[in-house]
Amino acid sequence: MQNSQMEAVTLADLGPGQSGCVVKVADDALGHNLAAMGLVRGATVSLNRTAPMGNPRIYAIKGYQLSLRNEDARKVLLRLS
Amino acid sequence: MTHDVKIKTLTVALTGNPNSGKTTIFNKLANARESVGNYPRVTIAPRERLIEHRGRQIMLVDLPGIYSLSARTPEEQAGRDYIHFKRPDVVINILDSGNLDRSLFLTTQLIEMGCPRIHALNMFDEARRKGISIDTPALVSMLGGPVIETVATTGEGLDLLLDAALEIADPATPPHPSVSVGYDAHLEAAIERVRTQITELHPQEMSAQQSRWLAIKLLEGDDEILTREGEHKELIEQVGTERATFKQHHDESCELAFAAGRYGFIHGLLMEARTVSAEIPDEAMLHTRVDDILLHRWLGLPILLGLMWVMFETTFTLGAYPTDIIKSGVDALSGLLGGILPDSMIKDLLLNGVLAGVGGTIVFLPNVVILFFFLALFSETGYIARGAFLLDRLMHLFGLHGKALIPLIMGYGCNAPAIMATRTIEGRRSRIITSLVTPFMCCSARLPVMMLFAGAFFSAHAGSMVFAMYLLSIVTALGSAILFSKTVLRSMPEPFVMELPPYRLPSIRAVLFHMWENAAGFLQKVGSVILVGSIVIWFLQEFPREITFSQNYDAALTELASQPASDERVSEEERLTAERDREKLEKSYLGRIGMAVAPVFEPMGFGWKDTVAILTGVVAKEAVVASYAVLYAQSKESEGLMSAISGTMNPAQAFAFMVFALLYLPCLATIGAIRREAGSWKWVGFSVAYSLGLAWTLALIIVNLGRVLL
Repeated sequence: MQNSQMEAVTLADLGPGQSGCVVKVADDALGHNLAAMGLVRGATVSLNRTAPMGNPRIYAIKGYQLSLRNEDARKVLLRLS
Repeated sequence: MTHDVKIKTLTVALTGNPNSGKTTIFNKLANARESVGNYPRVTIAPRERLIEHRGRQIMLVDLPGIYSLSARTPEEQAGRDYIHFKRPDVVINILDSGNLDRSLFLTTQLIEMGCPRIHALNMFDEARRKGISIDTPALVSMLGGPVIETVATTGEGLDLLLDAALEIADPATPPHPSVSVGYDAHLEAAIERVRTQITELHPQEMSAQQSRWLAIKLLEGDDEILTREGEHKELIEQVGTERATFKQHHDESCELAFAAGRYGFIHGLLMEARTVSAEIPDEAMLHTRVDDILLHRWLGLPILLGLMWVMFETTFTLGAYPTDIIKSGVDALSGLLGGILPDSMIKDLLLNGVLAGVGGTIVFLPNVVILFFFLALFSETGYIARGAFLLDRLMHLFGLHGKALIPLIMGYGCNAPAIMATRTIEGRRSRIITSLVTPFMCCSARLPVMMLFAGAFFSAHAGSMVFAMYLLSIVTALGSAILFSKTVLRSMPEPFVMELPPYRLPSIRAVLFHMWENAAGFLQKVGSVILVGSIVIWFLQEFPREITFSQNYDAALTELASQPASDERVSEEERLTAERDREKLEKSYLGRIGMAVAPVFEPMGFGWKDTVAILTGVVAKEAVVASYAVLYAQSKESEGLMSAISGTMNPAQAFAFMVFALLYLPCLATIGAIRREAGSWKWVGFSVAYSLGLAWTLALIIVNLGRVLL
């Protein structure tokens, strides 16, 4: 991947109102589970809300709301859009 | 499971995502029609019901709500195995019309399995309000099966659903042209190579569709399928090579590529068959506003606690009224039977065994019903998922899931329904931890014990002592949760991946059904465990019948009766009767067991009477105070009981007894609930051993500290 503009941003780094495009999902059981929930390469995802203690957070993906802990959201690499 | 059903009964399985309205459709279909039979749900086995439609018997099967058929969770595995091995005649795939992108993921897997299926575009009204319009006829050809628009809550389209099921099960109906989910060229080539190998190994056994499905499952690394094909070494090797090569060339595994391919297929399909209006509908705006308040970073938690308090408060204050009515009903029945039946052992068994035990438990029915009303309300509206979201961080510190809050709070009322409420937690590990720690919550049945001891030994600080017990119960529950999550239940990590469903107005019917189902479960338990337990305790207490008393009480009483009536005579009579009852109990099997077990409590200095009280408390915690009343031959309400026991222990022992009574064992009803929710006697055994060990050790420490300090 030569794109110079691309930083290693994970889903957990997404700021309020920011959105991104999924580049890569971790290749483990959780990653496969996340992929089944719609977090596949190319999907657009944005941050909706954060829980009282900053974790978990709610993301908008494929037209619905998905709640993930930050440690799990780190399994998803994004390209900011 | 095999069922004794008549020939030509059609098996129709319902499958779909959680929150897709699947269970509402099942209940609606099952209840609107005359039910021919009812097979209540046992643990996680699918719910089934035999119904009749247009003269045809249909066995409806409600499979657990799942997002995928990859067999990653027990629910997914149950769903997949049912469809794969039981081969239902028709699968009804319930889709959330407002959320087709994700709903159709499961559909792509059903398409590949090649089962005859019908697609229900459920909550069609909600989707329309969201500004979504769907080209239903176009979907029919793209999905390869009938597509029916339904609204589960109003019942719209449900008849058409069954009509379609009958039609596609009819051999005369020409099959729908089969469709296939296409993947990128490299994956397709790999599928084809594996498929060729499969057809060589299983010649003539499989259709093209079946071998393609098997090839895809193998390439996806499905452990179970791989084991099943284990005898074909060359196939396993080939699959392994294909997977490794693919990963090398694509920088992603086959699993991820298949998921991306499925979502690609769905994307293409929806581009053609769906249009979404650009403007945000009012309803969606409203939902966002409501979430702005309920999920607010500062207000969210206080609101949640407030709602929990309302639920708790209503359950026990409002519940008290019907409880009183039931109680007086039980009393009236007991009085009536007492009047009618001639004095006999049977009468005694009925009144003091069965009616006392069953009646004593059934009074909790109103509390159970009200609790489940609130739970149904919270889960149907979508608030439970939000509560879990708000609390997950906090609960995670204790190795628990956000949703564990509800059972823990409910445990302050009654442990048995609280453990039933762990069902709302999806992950098996979190569910087991929660059911194991919920019994530590100081339920309302333990309150009288705490009040008796606090009043008898710590009268100046009785309130604080009871409050300390409440605190100790939550501390023990959370502490044990940390311990379990770091030791016995460590091996199965469970991430928190939870869909936040949109807010929905609950249908009264669904809420009532939920209440009824849980009330029925509770009554069933009363009719089995409690009934048997009460009878056993009664027998132990009443036998042996022939007891050699230390003095002839009856003769003494008869003699007293002949004396002129006076206050002295009455009190002497009471004294003698009480003395006789005490001796009878002491020499009964229960008394003997108490004396035999008493050495266990010797280090704490508890006597045999305390032992008997502890033992009877296993049936139901209320029995502890009742036993003391019988043992000290005092009426339950009287101040006498407090003064009678106040001299028997020192304060440290009394405190130790309170702690012991708080923690020592789940009652029978709770044990039954743990068995049901945790799914095995192994966990019941663990729970019993752990809580007994913990209670005993703590009590011993307290008594010894008392010796040193006091």
